[in-house]
Formats: sequence, C-alpha cells, structure tokens
Amino acid sequence: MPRPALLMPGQGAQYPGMGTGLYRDLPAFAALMDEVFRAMGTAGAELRSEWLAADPAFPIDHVGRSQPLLFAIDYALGRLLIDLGLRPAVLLGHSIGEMAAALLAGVFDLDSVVRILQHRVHEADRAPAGGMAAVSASAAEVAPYLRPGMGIGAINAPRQTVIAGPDEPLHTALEALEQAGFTWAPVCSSAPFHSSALQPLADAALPLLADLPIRPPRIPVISGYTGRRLSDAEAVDPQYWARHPVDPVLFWAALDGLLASGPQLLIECGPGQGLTILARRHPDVRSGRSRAMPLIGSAAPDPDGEAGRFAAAATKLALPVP
Amino acid sequence: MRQITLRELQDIMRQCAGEDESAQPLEQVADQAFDELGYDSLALLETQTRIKLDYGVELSENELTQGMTPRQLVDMVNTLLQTA
Repeated sequence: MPRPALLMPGQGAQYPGMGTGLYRDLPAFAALMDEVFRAMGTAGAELRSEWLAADPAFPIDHVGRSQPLLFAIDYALGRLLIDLGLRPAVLLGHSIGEMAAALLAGVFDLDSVVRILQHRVHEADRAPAGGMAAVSASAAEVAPYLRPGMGIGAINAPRQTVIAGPDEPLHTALEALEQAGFTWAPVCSSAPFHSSALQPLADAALPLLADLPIRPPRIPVISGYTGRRLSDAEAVDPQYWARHPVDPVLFWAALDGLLASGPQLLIECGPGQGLTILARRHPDVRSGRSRAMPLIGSAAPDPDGEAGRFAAAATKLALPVP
Repeated sequence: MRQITLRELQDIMRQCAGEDESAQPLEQVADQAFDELGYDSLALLETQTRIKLDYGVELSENELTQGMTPRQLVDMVNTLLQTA
C-alpha cells in the first residue's frame, strides 16, 4: 500500500478566492481557519474579512495576504484530513508550506507559528521590492545569469528553477535569459523570498525563534531545505527555521528522496495543484508506482468547486465525507 | 502542407520538461489533460514558444490551458496551419 504523504504548497500557489468556497461549504474547514485567524489577533480578523471580500484592498500576491493565507489553508486542510482519520506517514512543505507542516507535526504550537509568520511578513515588507520567477531551465543553466543580491529561490524540477531577487537585478537577469531563449513566468510575490536580500529578516528572526518552544516532529517531515528527513536535532535548532527565507527550496530533491523510499500517495494539501503536477513529472509517478492527487485544486482557479473536489478526494482516500 | 504530429509535439514537450525516454509515448495519453500528464503553465508556455518558432503558428495568450489534451493542441495547431 502506498503511504499517504502530504505536500503543502507555498508562494505562487495563491489565487483570488482560494479556499473561500470550502470555507463557505464545509463548517469543519471553516472552524479550523477561524482558529488560525483568532490566533492572529486583530490582524487575523482583518485578514479574514479581506480574504472573503469581493474587492480586497490588497492584491492576493502581496506577501501580507498570500503568506498567512497559504499557511492557514495548508494547515487547516492537513488538520481536517487527520481529524477525518487519515494518518499521514510524512509531510513535505514548499517554503511557507513547511511552516504548516511544522505545526501539523507539533514542532511549534499555533501561537508560535503565528508569531514567526507575522514577523516574517512584517520584515519582508521592509525588504527591497523584489520578486521571483520560474525559469524553464536547470539550476546550472540559470546560475551564470544571477546578479549580486539574487539567488536560486527553488529547484522545483530538473528543468524548473525559480530565481529570486530585488526588482532591478531580477529584471536584468530575466531579460538576458529571454534573449538566450529561455522561457520564464513570474512566481507572483511582492518579496524576493529565498534570496540574500532577505538576510536581515533571517538575522532578526533568530532571537524570536530562540525564545519559542520547539519540539521534535511527531510526524516525519521531509525538509525542503536539505531534501532529507528533518532530524530531531535540526528540528529544534532555531537557526534551521530562521534561514528559511534566504535558503533555496530543494523541492525536487526532497520529492525524489521521498519517492525513492517507497510507494507514496502524494496528497496536495493546499490551494491549487502545482506540486501535484510537478510530482506527475517524476518517473515513479509516471510509472504508477506512486500516485499524486490534489485535494481542492483544479486546472483553473475555481473556489466554487472546492467542496465538491474535496468530497471526491475524501472518497478516494476512503475517508468519511464531512 | 505542413502539419504537426503527436510525435513531434512529444519531442518538443520532452525537451521543455527535460524528460528522459522512459516517459510514456504521447500517442498513448493523447486524450489526457496536460495537468494530469504533469505539464504546468511554464512547460506549456515554453511549448507555445517552440510551436511558434518551429511551425510559425502563434497561439493567443491563455489559449493553451492545462485542462487541454495533446490531441486538442495538435488539432488546434493544424487548423491554424491550414488557414494560414
């Protein structure tokens, strides 16, 4: 039997209205989302009303919106599956998704994760304006185009590399890549996550993290930063978590290692289906040895269909349909 | 008249996604949607660029979606080639 593994997406997976259909149609999911909003205090109440508003004041790609909402939806979906009886064998989060995984695994409690998250968003807002872009190329191919202040943001697949950095060097690098014949698409973000531009954020997060209770994971976590299973020593090291906003996400290495450990049933526990599609490119998923499925994602953003897709996914997972 | 075949589309898409030869022939999965086959918007964008370069056919933005199948794409390109 393949083991259930939760994939938790990060920046780039957001779309307007993500999760709102499920919030409206599934009270158990709504209760979990409200628990996160409450833990965020007055900022949480504002985030919730912005999220549900037809005409929000901030675009969803602003990190002050996308980061806390992605985290909350990833976590609430994971918690919901566990409450329905699923026993995930392992968790793998992409970027902010790893913070949701850390909460599910009991490394941090909800109040602590919320503090880390709010600090990260606040500091990212003060960083130089920047962004991220996914390039259809290997990391080795894009490396010569990186300019000072930039970095590899993520290696999502053998030929899908995310680069990150402040606006000016990023635009220059993308122009050069385009001239050289490479295709790229923006990863919608108002901050250059996983680049050295956010080093001050990582430095400032360390004292905060050192003051928070940290425990070894109760559910195994695959680190998106080392590509290997997170050890207990790493899990309780504040430095490991503080470096998330500057270190690259090695998603493909993490996925590859997970799939090499045996057949998996990969469940994308968050908005969209981006990680599912990446996984479907892996030979182990192609061959049917492992499988990958989204929970609420579809080919095009569709909040109104989320509850129906969640119910269908729950049935496939032999869980009671809430 | 020049036409694109599923085989030729497969060659383009394999280069875009960086796949080895072990991937299933596109003919066998021609009616599955691109998202089910593991092709995301970036891979499709690159495919679109390659089709423009190699066949001179320009698909308008958002015409090639993840919910589309390889057969639908081949048919769309061939229709455009005929009317070109």
